[in-house]
Amino acid sequence: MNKNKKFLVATAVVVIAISFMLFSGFKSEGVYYLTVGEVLHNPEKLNQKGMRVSGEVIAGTITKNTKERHLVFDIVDVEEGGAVMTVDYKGIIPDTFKEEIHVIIEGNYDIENKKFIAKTLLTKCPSKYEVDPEEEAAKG
Amino acid sequence: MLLALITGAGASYFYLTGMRSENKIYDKIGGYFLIAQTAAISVASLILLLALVTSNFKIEYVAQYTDLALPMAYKLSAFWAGQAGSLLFWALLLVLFAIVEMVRLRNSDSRYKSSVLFVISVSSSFFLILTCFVTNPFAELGFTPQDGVGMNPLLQNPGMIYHPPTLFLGYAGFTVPLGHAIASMMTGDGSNLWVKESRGWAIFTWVFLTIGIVLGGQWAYVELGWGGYWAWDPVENASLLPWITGTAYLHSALIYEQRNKLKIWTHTLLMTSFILCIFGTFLTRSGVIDSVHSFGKSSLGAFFVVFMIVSTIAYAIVLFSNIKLYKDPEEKDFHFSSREGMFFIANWLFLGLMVVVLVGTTMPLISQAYYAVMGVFGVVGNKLTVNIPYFNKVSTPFFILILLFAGLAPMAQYGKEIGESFYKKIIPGVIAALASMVIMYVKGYTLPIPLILTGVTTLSLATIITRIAISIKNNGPKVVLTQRRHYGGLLVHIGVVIMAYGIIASSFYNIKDEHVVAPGESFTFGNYEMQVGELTVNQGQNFTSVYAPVTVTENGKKIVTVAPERRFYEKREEAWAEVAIYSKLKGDLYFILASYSKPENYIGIQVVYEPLLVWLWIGCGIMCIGAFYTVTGRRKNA
Repeated sequence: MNKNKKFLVATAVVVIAISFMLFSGFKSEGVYYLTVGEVLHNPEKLNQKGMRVSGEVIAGTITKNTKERHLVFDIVDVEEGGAVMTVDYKGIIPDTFKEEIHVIIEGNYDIENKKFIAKTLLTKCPSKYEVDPEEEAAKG
Repeated sequence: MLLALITGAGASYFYLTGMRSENKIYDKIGGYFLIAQTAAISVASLILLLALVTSNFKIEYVAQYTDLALPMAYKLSAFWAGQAGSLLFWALLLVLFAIVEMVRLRNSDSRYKSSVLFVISVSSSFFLILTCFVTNPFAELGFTPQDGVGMNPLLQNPGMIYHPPTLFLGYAGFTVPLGHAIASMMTGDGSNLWVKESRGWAIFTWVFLTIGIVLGGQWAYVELGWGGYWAWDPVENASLLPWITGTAYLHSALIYEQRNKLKIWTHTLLMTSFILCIFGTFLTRSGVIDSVHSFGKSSLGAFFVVFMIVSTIAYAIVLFSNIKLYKDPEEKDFHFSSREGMFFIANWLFLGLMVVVLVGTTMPLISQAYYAVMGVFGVVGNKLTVNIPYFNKVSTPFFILILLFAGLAPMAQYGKEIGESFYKKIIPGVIAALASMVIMYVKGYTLPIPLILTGVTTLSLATIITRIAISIKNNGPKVVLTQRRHYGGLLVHIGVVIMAYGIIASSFYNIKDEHVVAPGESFTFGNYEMQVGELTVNQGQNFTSVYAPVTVTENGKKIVTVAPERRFYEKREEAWAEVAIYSKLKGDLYFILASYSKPENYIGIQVVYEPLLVWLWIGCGIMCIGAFYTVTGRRKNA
């Protein structure tokens, strides 16, 4: 086999292997990346995969049981339409979790009880690394 | 402060004139401008540091990241904590590198030298444009606040002092070899001169990138309180991507230098690494991808995209116009099983790993774009993303193969196919690998993936040791001192496999548990008995902490008392968990004070056991020592 053929075969093998891995990876491990409104629109179809949703925790809706590590709260879609959904989460409560914070949750939608069962909860405070001092000054 | 604004703006003007240094005649003038630029950036940096130290809150940046109560070390580290400051820091590093190169190359061909400095000064000027016009660290507020907002408690960790600078050194460092690569093309020199010239830089860059990434992992481990060190977060991936291609580049460059092969690979990998550094910064700063680490959304994205596209196109044009220089004249005697063949395969493995991680990281963008285009044809879908299991799954096969080649490649010979002697030499490795797998299996660790991983890791380790042993036997122990490059490289590989053991053990066999007990009570965790004491309150410089002492006993013998705590920083409403870690060579015990209530009289403690975790840090240390060892060899030989 001459060198060009060798290379061609090698390249083909590599490309096929990588793309196969990518596709099988996405098929089994890919999750939908959604807004609250999108989840509520068609949860049945979306439940076939995991979902990752981001939204803002609504003030006054948090029920927190620190001892049992159980959180129930409502989140609202900030950017699109303002859809609201209840989230039920059991697990480690992040240090930064509080009202009006931006959260990213992952899990599935419980259609019967109309709430999102979250397996993971990440807090993403817009002010995590960057705080606007003018806003802060206005508040304080 | 206004003066700083002017110097900052002034420095960015120099880039236009600095570009002239490409021309032979302007070499000297370019040099003066470079010095002026360096002086201006240094002054600007000093002023920013001074403002941070003296808490001049009139400057927005200072008010954003510091407050009066912040300890001095963190006030200083705020220089690179924020967006504007870190970009200035990057520019500062670049010009300092440029000065080093200017001195080092003073006797070189002036066209070559000018091209190197041209590349560096264009890059540094790019960052200066950003800091002057997009996100100025000296921007002033319309009023002077009484106190600053303060630094995020997560950033108040010694990690803040050393992790970002090492990573930025790594990021910025790629620019210098890139400058050399371009210089070699500009001068029409297809020889390995540029690789030799920039080898020290490449290794320096790689070491700092490695340290930076591992320190980041270590920081996450001690600060974030979930017992892990790597979560495939976009920001972490952003630092890993250039490391992967950078590693491939180092290997390619070796073949380029010694065998005059893989030249186009070497050039491409270097450029890819450079672009990925910029891309990483773009990902994390532009807000295009949601990450818990991300900085706020900003208008920086477009600038980065333009810079990446322009520099890639420019590089591609230069490379293709010189492509004849790099065609391999002896293409025919190339065997996949020769040492350079294995390096070639390794390149593909690194590249493949980079691609799957890159695609995973940018999946939300890719799927969005895909459905945006397909939407025209009526195909509708939702934005997709992937998480930790995806990355673990797709990267594992690459890690298995990379580990395998890390052990086998040093055994193969240049220019020859492997033969009987090769198989003979790897026998001890194969035996050790099988033995390790049997022992693991018998001990009850029967999961297939860690078994395979342990097998290839042991094969590599044993093979490298065999290699060294044979060589010492044949040439005497002195060979380790004389051929430093080779043995340094082998040492790096040993570090890699040691790290691999730590990663395999801690990712597949960690144990997590949590208990809620009353103070004074105890619970069992594996062989350990944990006794939880009374809650205690402590006052720190800018926080109040509550901790619960936990006394660990193993088989009735008291081992240690640790104190996981929660801190309340003055400016923040939330309580921040500070974990307590008890490290031993065979594994780490990791404690988190998860919850507590004085009135209800309970304390919740989470314990994680991470087997062999320390070896991750040790392995990294060995890698760095090995890498530095190769560089000392180079100087001596030259």
